[in-house]
Amino acid sequence: MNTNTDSPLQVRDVHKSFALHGERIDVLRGADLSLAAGKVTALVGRSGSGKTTLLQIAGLLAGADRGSVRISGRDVHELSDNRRADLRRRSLGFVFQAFNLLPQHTAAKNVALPHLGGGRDAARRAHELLGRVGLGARAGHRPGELSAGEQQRVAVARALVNDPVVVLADEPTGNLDADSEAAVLALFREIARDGRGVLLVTHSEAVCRSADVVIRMSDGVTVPDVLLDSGAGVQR
Amino acid sequence: MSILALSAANVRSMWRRFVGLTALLTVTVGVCVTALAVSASADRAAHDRVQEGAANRTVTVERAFDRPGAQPLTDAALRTLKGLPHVTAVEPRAQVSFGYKDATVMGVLLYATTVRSSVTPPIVGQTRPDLFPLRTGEVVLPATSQGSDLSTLLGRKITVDITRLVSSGQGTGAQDGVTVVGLFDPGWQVDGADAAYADNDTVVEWSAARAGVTAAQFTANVGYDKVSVIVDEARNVDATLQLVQSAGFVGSTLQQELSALPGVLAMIRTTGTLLLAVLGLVALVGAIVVTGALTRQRIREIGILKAVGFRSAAVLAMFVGEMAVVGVLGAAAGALVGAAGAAAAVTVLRGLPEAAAYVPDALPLPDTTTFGGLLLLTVLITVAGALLPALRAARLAPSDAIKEW
Ligand SMILES: Nc1ncnc2c1ncn2[C@@H]1O[C@H](COP(=O)(O)OP(=O)(O)OP(=O)(O)O)[C@@H](O)[C@H]1O
Ligand SMILES: [Mg+2]
Repeated sequence: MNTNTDSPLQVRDVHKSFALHGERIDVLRGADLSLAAGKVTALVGRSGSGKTTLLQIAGLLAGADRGSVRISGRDVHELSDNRRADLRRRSLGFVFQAFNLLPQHTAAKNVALPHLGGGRDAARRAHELLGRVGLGARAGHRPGELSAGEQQRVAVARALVNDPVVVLADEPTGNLDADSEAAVLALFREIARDGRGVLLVTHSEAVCRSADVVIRMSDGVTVPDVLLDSGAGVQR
Repeated sequence: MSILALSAANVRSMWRRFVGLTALLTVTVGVCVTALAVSASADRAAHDRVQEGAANRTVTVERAFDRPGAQPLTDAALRTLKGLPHVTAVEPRAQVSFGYKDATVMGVLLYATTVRSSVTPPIVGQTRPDLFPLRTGEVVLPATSQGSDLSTLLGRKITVDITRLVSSGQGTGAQDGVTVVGLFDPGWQVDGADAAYADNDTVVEWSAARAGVTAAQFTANVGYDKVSVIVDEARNVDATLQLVQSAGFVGSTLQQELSALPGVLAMIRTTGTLLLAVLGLVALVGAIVVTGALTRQRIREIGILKAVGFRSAAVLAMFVGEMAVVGVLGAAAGALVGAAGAAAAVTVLRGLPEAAAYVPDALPLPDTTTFGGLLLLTVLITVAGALLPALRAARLAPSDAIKEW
């Protein structure tokens, strides 16, 4: 197990269960996850295996019943909700399968959103990032005026606006065609090259192939994936 | 600042969801401003007049037709009143109608009114300095009346139509000649719409004719409509009022008379106050309902905001800010509607004889304090209404807010 303290995101022995109709479902039973800076890590596993649950805990969107989460070496266990929000804003970037852009705002405003909606610097940085994802000319368009692939690239730009150490993406290419998927994957590789840790939860073969590390969720625990073809291993 | 900008941007881009509440606020604030404006300026008009000269040293005694045993305001009564301590003068007042018509004036019906030295009308044209007191056979007319320009009559001796009672219940037309020595601003309606001023003898003579008696009989038996009792100092007014009342007369101070608003205006003032309460309720309930609906519809948005690092307080501020923006918009639009409403109300009220005297010439807008207060109140209330639903929404855990990744 990777215990590298330089890791931007470390999840150790996380447990999580839900009570559903009086029945207890143990979704995570000691899951571990350690992202490496500069690498793309793919998290795979069958549907319902707990990938999203793990990503939410790692991204401080939900709490774990047990276990620890460290962002840049710092344990988040004792942090208040406000401190967690601050940490999400400063250190984490999210990309969702459903894009999750705010429909009422332009692409530029959506990208600047983590800056609490304002500021000249935020606007400048938003335009810069939209340029980087190839949408410099679409800054003034609302999500409804963009294609699915374009919306997801806007979402990627938003995830980067605060220069996070970790980018977490839950099936970011799930709603995209092959060309858009390739474009978005290229972006994630580029993001990793900036020195960030990137986690992609995915069902996609293409995403797994482009990842540096593949981890599999199974029975509530994570295991390094060695079963994939093409020699995909723990570290490539 | 930036959160408020976000709120404003939300209101702008989702205006359809806010337009209903904004319109509701606009109408309520508008009606409220109208009512407050009219009653506030009526109050001010009354107050201003009380401050003038001898006006606040005056006790008004009225002839009480409906009060059995009440004394008529005859010469004897005048002497009694004049004899009371602190009283410096008594000014009998009477009003009697007369008509005038010629080639250019289509026909106006005016009320010849005795002049009170304490409350003289604003003069816009005169044939000699120091018009008052008027001499026998002199009148001062409004510059315009009932659509006719009367200013051409200045300086002329005119023949007017009066009524003479010949037998019980039957009158006949008669004529009399008077000289027009002055014109006053028709906006002055302290003695009612369509008042004209004439010297005491003329008013008494015409009143006597109308009653079918001689002038001497009139002052001895019938008596005047009102008597203004002028007191030496304002602080003696209340004591004099008591004496007047215990002598069997129906009296009031001019202060009371002027601040007792006519029914229509009093109703408007009550409506204004009531509406202020209604405004509060409407804004509060509206803000609660709208924010409640909005936060339920925008749960995913809340999740997104939290995911990108908004604290609960920032989410709360955004929703509350939206309602504050709506409150400002509603209050501002309501002020415009209210101004228009006040203008319309003034036009209507000028046509009501009992209210006309209280309606100022200029558009009666509420002062900045009233207006600022109303704006603040509207915003405070919409914000208060938004607070609870917004707080509930802001407290959502991010993972609950985004169910659908
Ligand atoms: N809030 C919740 N309440 C009850 N059960 C939940 C909750 N969230 C997740 N679960 C359950 O936990 C399990 C894991 O869910 P999760 O969403 O993590 O799976 P997943 O691996 O992301 O699946 P998929 O690949 O289909 O997205 C599922 O059985 C789900 O029903
Ligand atoms: Mg999932």
